[in-house]
Amino acid sequence: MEVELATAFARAGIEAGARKAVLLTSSGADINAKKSWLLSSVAGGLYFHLKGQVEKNFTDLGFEQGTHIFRPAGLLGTQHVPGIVDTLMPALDWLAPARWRSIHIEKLGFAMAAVALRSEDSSASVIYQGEELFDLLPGKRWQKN
Amino acid sequence: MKIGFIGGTGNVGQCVLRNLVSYPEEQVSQVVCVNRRKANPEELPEDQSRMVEHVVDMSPGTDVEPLFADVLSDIDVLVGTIGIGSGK
Repeated sequence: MEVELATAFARAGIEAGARKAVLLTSSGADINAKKSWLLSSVAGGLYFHLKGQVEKNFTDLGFEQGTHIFRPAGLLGTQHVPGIVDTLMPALDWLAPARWRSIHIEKLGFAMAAVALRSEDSSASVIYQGEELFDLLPGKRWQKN
Repeated sequence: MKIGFIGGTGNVGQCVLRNLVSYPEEQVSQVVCVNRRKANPEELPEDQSRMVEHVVDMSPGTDVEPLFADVLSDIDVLVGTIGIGSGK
């Protein structure tokens, strides 16, 4: 259902003059994702498929200054994450490939706002995940401080 | 710049919104937030002088696009942080 909501919002927005879109999805977003033995839960293939579908719907609308897609992996600093995880994850992140490293939501909010306000000279869509996402942060740090 | 925003009551959305309204007025003239419920005060940035909140019926089966169109005009940038979640 959120796919339909987000898509309807994008369509109404482009009619209202929007030249650019900034969209939050998730690392692993893939319109071709399917359920697998590895990702057998609802939060597996279907989740990534739906995130990929939203990305495609936005991109297909052809925003003049592109669709800027943020695909973070683990989010730190939310009320859904126990404090111990918030503490431990950053210490273990170096073990993971960049695209699967966690990011604090304050840093993500900073980066998304900065990209929203940046002027663009291309209509190409851009995906920020892993290093591309961390490159947007001051000092390239993905943790809160 | 006038920004249309959906998902501003979520965890990430609140952070993005707070950052947007911290920019000077020359950069961000207004943020138009479209929510499915009225935001709790603690979910909103301290400075709300340049944000406007619209509560839109997003219940299943509702044709939401005309409702979004009613509240969006002269928008420069769209921001979407809506999740595939509980929709609380």
